[in-house]
Amino acid sequence: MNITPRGCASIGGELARCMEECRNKTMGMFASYGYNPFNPAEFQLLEGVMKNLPRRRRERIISLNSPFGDPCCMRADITLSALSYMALHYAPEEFPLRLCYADRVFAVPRPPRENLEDTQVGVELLGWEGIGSDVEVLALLMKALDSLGLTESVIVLGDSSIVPRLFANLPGNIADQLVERLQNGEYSAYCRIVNGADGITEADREILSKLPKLKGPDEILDGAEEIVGSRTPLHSLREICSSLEHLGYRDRVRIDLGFIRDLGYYRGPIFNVYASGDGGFLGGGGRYEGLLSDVRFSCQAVGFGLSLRELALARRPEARPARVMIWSGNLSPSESLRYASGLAERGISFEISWNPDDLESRNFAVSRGCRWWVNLRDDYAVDVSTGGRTRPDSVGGAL
Amino acid sequence: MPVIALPTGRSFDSCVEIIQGAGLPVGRLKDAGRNLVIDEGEYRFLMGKPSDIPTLVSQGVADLALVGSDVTEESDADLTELLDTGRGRCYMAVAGPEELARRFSGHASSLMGLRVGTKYQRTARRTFAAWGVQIRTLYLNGSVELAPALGLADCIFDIVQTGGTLRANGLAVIKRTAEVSLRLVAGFGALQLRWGSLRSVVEAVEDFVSSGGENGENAD
Repeated sequence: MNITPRGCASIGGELARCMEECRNKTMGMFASYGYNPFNPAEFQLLEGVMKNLPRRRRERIISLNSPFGDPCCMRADITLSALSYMALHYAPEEFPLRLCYADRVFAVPRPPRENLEDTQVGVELLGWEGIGSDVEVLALLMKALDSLGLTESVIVLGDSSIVPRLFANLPGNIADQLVERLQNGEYSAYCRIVNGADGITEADREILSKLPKLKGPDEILDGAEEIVGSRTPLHSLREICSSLEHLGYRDRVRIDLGFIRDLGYYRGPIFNVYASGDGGFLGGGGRYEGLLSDVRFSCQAVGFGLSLRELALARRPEARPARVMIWSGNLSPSESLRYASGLAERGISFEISWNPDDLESRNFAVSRGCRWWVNLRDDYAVDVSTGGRTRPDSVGGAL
Repeated sequence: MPVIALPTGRSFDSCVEIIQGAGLPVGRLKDAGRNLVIDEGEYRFLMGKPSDIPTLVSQGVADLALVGSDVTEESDADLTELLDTGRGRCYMAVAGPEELARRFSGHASSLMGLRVGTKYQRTARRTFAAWGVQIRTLYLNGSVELAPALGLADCIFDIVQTGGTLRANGLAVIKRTAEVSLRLVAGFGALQLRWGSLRSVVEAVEDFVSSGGENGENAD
């Protein structure tokens, strides 16, 4: 029997526990850096989303009418929600604003994926220009990944201002075609246009044909400077890399100068995040500007969003059973709960057994993977793997 | 270890030829038998049904793959197309009885509701939609040429190499819609993270293909 629609998933078990742990750790980290929690509305007005999201993402929104007749879509982008919230609640002199969130986004997936929803955790730093905010957000991202034990995670940095600068001298239609090809990952078609189109100088052809191959560790910026440096400054990326190096993250940073994502949405540094050098995609972010003009502010912002599910999977969730099974037999339930409260205060996980039969309860503790079975009626605790006994109040010390 | 996915079936030999031409080891690959995973020196090759190749790459199981553009177009998976090898050339076409050609030369409205037999349902819908025509597709994964004769479809949408099978079933190409060839594709994550180890493979394939290759061929 299907209990959820195709494309949706109810998540439980260890994965859900691990997702919750990731949510708590990252949100706690964000809060300590001055980011305030933000709970976006589940629906977004279709007009704002259609106006601001790039075409590739507009095609994948899930639209519907609200019961009050508003043309809406399921939340397709939390950044847009954050901006609307900011426009309604803050004045420009209160900038910069720091928001963090852990909530769902909805989109029609690209095959072979089928998930219509994903829970993202992320931050938005609104209203501050310059490298400082980029580095702050990237450093926070790395700290958050470290706190989850993802110490081999990697960020790939690009700069979405590079392509427009490099294409500035090209005839408009050719520039548009090249952008489209790069965004769609059609490198062979991109190269055909670069090599065959009229109106491109030989010098430009050489630069443009090398652009998609400028990827790798930050050392490639030296070579890239010779290739594209005369047309587009790379100092932003250099400065970001240098700061991340000083923070000890050099080995976890890669560069991709041909990387553009949703041009028109992002302006400036952009990045993808992976669980490891071989690993799965966790999310991404970058700097954007145009979105804010819609909400009466003219300023920039930078943020990122990570998939909570992918974060949890990257941590390889393992079963972590309650450590203590409490059995009180025919004593008052309050006896169990009083003892349980003591364990909770010491951070020891437990489960209460209401089974009247002590043997069944003890077997249940074994099947649950508990380490201790505590018999409050007869005042002893048993290590279920060794059979060794101790007093119930010694369980905490033994653990 | 770079992982390269290759499609089994009719284009497998062309793929091995490209891999060999690029200077990668192919000794065990040529004698793959039923093995689906073959380690050759510092490379791992995964053999899969053509329609599975985009999934292997987009999900990060394989770094690179050779696969027909008909398959990538139909899959709609998130792939980066690095190179058109020009090998395994054929084309996508609408084919049907000769008399249907008259409807195609008229106004698009005469094609509305056309019943199209194909295994490329997504590509067919997209292709006809670009002409302003809404079609009904019938999924057929083989013997698609039979569909018009059996009254299951008005026409078919399929890849054509020589056209011999079409002629044998009383069908003709009505409209050629796209060129098809083997493409070198990669997952975006693999390119961003492992370009250093993939670059030499990509450039070796590029060199082999652009030089015309020792055994260059054209299926047409």
